[in-house]
Amino acid sequence: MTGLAPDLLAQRRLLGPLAWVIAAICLIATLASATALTLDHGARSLAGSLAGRATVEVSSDDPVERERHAEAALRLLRGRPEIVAATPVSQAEVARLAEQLGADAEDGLELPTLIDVTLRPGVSADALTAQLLPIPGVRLLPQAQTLAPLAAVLEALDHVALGVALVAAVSALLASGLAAHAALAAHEAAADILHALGATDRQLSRLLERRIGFEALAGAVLGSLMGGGAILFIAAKLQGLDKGQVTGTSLHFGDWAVLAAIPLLLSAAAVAMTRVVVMARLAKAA
Amino acid sequence: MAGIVEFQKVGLRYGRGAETLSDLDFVLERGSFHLLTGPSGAGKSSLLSLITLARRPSRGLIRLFGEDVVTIDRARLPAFRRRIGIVYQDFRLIPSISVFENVALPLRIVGAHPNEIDASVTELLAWVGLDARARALPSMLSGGEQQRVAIARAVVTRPDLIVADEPTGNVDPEMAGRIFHLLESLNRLGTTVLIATHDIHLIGRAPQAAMMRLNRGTLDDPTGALRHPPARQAPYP
Repeated sequence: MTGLAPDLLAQRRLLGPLAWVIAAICLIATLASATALTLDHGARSLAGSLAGRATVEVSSDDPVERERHAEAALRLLRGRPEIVAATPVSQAEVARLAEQLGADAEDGLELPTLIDVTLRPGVSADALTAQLLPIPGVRLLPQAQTLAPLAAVLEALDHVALGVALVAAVSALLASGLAAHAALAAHEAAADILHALGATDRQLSRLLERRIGFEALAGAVLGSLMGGGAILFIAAKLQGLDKGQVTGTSLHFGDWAVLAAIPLLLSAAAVAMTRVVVMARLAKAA
Repeated sequence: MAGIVEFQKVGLRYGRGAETLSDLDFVLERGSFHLLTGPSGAGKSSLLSLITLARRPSRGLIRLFGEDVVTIDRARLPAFRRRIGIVYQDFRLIPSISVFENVALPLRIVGAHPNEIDASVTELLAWVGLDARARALPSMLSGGEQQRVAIARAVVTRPDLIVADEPTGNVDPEMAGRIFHLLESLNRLGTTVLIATHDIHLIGRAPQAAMMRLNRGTLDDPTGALRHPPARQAPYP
């Protein structure tokens, strides 16, 4: 028990510069963490929706031959035990997709026939390639492979966001350490008196820990509220997007719990850093 | 009487300079009253800083309350400091807290019960004549009043040893007399008192005190001429 009055270390303002620094850091950490969590969900959602899915493309300049080959492929696929479903894509849909990719229906290009295939879990799409080889003009396109670059980009962005959150946490630690140094220097006279009266290093350290912990918590809560507001604003904008274009972008309850824990963690880190710095400094005294 | 402070061949050096204190050998007996004198720069404050454990000596042995405090683990020093009451020339009160809280500090440090703190601090403030100023901040008090607060703070835990560094240096002669009287009365209650001073009038007021004279970092003439200064009559009431 310290029993020491918290106003022993007088301060002119309720909140010092550390609170504002921690607020900015917490804002960055919250946004970066939310980004990391969202990207992680997006990547998982993408991987989940693409895993076990493939597209069989049947192409030929002769429409009749193409349809014959497509029917053969369809029969083969539906006869395989590892196939859950094999569904032909309508030509109208194929034409729409081609148009999205820049092809013009009036170009006279022969569009391929596409078959969407869903495999049983754990079955590789590559296993089907050999089965389809005897049918001319048939090509198997595993969707995960097709969208692998996008998944890699999402993963990289996820790591970057996580890195930013970690850098923010380290910055909070360094800022707290500097604040502890400054506070100890500013209150050196009071610390000397308390030492002379028999106060232990831990008692002195606790006084500074309480001061810096309070400032860090106040700043972290402020930064967290600003970050939460920004996330809700962006979430509202994302809701306006076509669900088919953007999926897996919402934060779950657990994610909000993680974000809510950030100010507490930053404050705890600030207190721990203060203890380390103050105890190390005091240990150098007589 | 047992030695409460023992110095054996103690030396103190700041940095790489010459020794500020050299070969100090003395014993302060329990319940004794000592005056430490010497010219400015003689090393009085340095000697007090060794006794109050604000510094460690460069060499030699210091025993406080029978234990070697030179090689002692740093974590044990607060327990020794709590047995020493210190009065500084510049008072060293905490400016942001009230007179009451300043006096209560040593008790709060040792984790005393609030009722005990209330009773002890109230009693001591009455003893030093400042019970009416308990809620005032130190900045609202005169120098003499602040020194009395410092004395109350120094004795609130009933320490075994009181060390006062020029306690009358910043107060008028009348107040100096009252402060000296407070320290004398503490000594009569059995507390060992060591006062560093170059106030010749204060020295004249304490014929019963054992003299210690520091000169250029060494103790000499511990019971010599300063015990009988030329200006013997005390100006204090």
